[in-house]
Amino acid sequence: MSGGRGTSAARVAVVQLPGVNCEAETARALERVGLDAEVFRWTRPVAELSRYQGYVLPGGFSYQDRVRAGALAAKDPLIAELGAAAERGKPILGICNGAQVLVESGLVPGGDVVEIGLARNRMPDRTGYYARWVHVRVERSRCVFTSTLEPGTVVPLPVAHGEGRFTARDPERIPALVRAGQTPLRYATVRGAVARDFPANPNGSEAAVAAVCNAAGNVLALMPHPERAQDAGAVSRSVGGAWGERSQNAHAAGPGLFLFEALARHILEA
Amino acid sequence: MERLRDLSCEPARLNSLTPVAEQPLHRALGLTDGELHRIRDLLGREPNHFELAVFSLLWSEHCGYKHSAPLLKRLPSSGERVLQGPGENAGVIDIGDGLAVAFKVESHNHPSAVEPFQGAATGVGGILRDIVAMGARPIALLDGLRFGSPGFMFKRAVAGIAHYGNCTGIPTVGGETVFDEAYEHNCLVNAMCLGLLPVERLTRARARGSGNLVVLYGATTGRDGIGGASVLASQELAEGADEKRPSVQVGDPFTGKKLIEASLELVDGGLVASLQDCGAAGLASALAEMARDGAGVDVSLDQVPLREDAMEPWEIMISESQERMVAVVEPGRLAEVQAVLDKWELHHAVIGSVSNTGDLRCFFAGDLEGAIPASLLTDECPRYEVEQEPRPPRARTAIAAANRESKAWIYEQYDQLVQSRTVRRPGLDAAVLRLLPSYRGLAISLDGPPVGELDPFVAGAKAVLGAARNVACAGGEPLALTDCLNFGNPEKPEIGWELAQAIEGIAQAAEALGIPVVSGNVSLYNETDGRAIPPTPVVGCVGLVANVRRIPSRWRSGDAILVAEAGESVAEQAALIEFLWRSAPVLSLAHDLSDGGLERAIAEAAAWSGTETKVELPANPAGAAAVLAVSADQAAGLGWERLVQIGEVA
Repeated sequence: MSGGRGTSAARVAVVQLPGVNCEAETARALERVGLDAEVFRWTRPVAELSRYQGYVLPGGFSYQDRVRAGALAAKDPLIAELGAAAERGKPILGICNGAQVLVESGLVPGGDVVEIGLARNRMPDRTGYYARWVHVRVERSRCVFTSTLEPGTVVPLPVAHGEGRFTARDPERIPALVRAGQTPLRYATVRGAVARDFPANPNGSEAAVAAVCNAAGNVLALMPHPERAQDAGAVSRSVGGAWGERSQNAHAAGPGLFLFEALARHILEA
Repeated sequence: MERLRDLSCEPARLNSLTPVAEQPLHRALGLTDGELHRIRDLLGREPNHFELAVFSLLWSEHCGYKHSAPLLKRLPSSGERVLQGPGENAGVIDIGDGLAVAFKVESHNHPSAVEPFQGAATGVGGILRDIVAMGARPIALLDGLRFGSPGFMFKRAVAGIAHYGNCTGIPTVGGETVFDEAYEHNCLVNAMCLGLLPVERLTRARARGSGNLVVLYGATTGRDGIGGASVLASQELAEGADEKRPSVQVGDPFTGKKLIEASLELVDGGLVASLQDCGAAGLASALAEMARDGAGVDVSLDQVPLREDAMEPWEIMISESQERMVAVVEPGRLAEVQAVLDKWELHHAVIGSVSNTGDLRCFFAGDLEGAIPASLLTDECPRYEVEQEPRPPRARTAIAAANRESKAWIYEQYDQLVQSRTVRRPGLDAAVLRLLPSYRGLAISLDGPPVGELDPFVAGAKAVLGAARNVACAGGEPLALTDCLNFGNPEKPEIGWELAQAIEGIAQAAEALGIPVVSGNVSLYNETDGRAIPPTPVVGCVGLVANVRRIPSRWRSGDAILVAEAGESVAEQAALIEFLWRSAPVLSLAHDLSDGGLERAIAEAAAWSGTETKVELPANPAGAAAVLAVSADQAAGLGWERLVQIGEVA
């Protein structure tokens, strides 16, 4: 997909590593907010990545999730190039498998060593892949992608993953990230309380963390799928609240679009 | 003419297919003595072992429909929307606005009984490639699962479906799950896929143009799945089924995703003259299908990229290694085709060319291994009129308690939203996918007969009506059907009768609805130690939704709750279905009554709506077919005589 309404000044690469499968709808969400999205496949020369003003690593199963989800992709030369772009302040959004890649590469939360991980879901009486709608609460942070929403806002988003539990060897690490404002989205109840228990916290993530960003706020590892929530009509009836009611309007802007809108505003205002 | 290698004196060459000592090769391959004679007569000579192996696969029930084809002619298959009826990789219908839908349901029962994870996964992979071969992008999967219990085997099959569908990025949006002791030793795994394509991209499998090149691409070829179609799919299972494990294919959805994207890029670019997937019977079937209309194909099996050493020509020919496709390419476009396949990092090789001989000729390192007029493999496949003997009526078996429990834990393992088309998700009747960027949509359902239904005619009719009613309840006008016929051994007269009766039931229901059956699959020999499964026709229905913003969703406070009743006849049932989809835009909810009856249907509707409410169940809910909810002022205007109000939403 290419040739959106945006100008060439606002080009975003949807980076497709082998096994990625959400490239088309991710590009559609970007085009919807006025960005020029282009699927950038792994077989293209790495140097061509520098032409873009922002990057999205979509969901899927890069390199078959071998070893651990995202572990092999993190070693791909494309990711080293994205690391350099991140240092220059370019925005990078990793969704689901893309989040796993960002965490495995250490781009999130940043620093020289890999500090946190996305472990297998911890759920009562079941294991493996789990797909459902959950709510996330916007936290106070410097993250580019949540900058358009007030802290405390509750948004429904779908999750679909088998390895989505943010954790760290150091038990103080995740709480420290929360305090540092590097967890811009946390799983919450529909009323906005932090979700400690399954299924509102769908994977047992520590401190109910749904997304982690780097200290500068321009790189975000996000487990839910905002691109699947770009249409109001996609919202599950089970969601309830205002978004559940609005779900009758199939093509109206959905609850997931705000992350892409924030990206567009960031790029276009830069 | 090249000299045919005489292999008939080398019995050891096929010894991995002759597990039973001291029996003639043709029987070990699943051919009868009569079929061997027919092959001799048609060829006018003795077949060599290579040729015999190819015949055994193509003349298996799975590929050749030799017991079912005469009966299947009964099904209506034409209509003004039909662009492609039965006989290709999938049926295709025109849905207007320049768009078409390709869809088909297929069984993978026997492989799943032997190894449920890979059996189910490759069932999904196979049906995906059938849809891709028509030039369509797969946009939805549905699964019909029937198992003895929700135990280990079932959980592994669900995991296999999730593995393949989730990894390739195709949403699994529906299906049915039934637990019944009758399927304990013969589980059913039926997979349906639906794909979307611009009408002008419709691609077919028939080879065209003498001198065009045959390109094999995708995964490499190994010994997995050798003899799958004949050994697994067309014989009864018995003690020692575990020994058949080497015949189960292994799926690789990672390559499957690349194969889908590369194939669609080839089709979009107009780079291929025809396309065929390598499914059951591998290259043998793919090439025979391509060559059947008189074209002829010459293939050099030594050119096939292999993953194992020292494979025999016959092994290469019939291997069922997954994630492979065959394309016919004009020589002038080969470089462009190769560039696309290189870009997607897929193996590829020119393995042959289209001829004008009508023969399927197979070479290895210059030697002619086999030469068979292609029509003998397909059109001349023996057809048997099955003997029919009515089975005495049997009492319906009890419904297992596991059927009454929520199925959410199953579909929560499936990615239901990937591709972001899903407007209405699994959990109630049919799923709805939006046809972006318009507001039109598709409602899709896959349904089988009620649990424990033993009357084959009723099973066939109710499968069709159930699937169509699900679609109508989601606001879709039923357009066409696909069917998967799961039965026992058709060589037994009572099974032959069941098969014929079920087809009659499907045909009458389809005729009453005025819609065709455009594709399908037959899975026979679902027997273990002589005990057959109940007649289990599983039917997929595709419907068109005029406006996805106006589909029944959930009931609201103040709505009248109604029960629509209808008689048992297919005509009355068909009329109800038409009423349901025509009324759908004003209904706030519609829900089909399935096995659980009215009480259960209301409980499901309440759970779906998120609002419990009190209703008074009629003393005698006979004939109840659907629960509706509609705003009180609209209730009077609904055009159906047998509507009973049973309550209102608080």
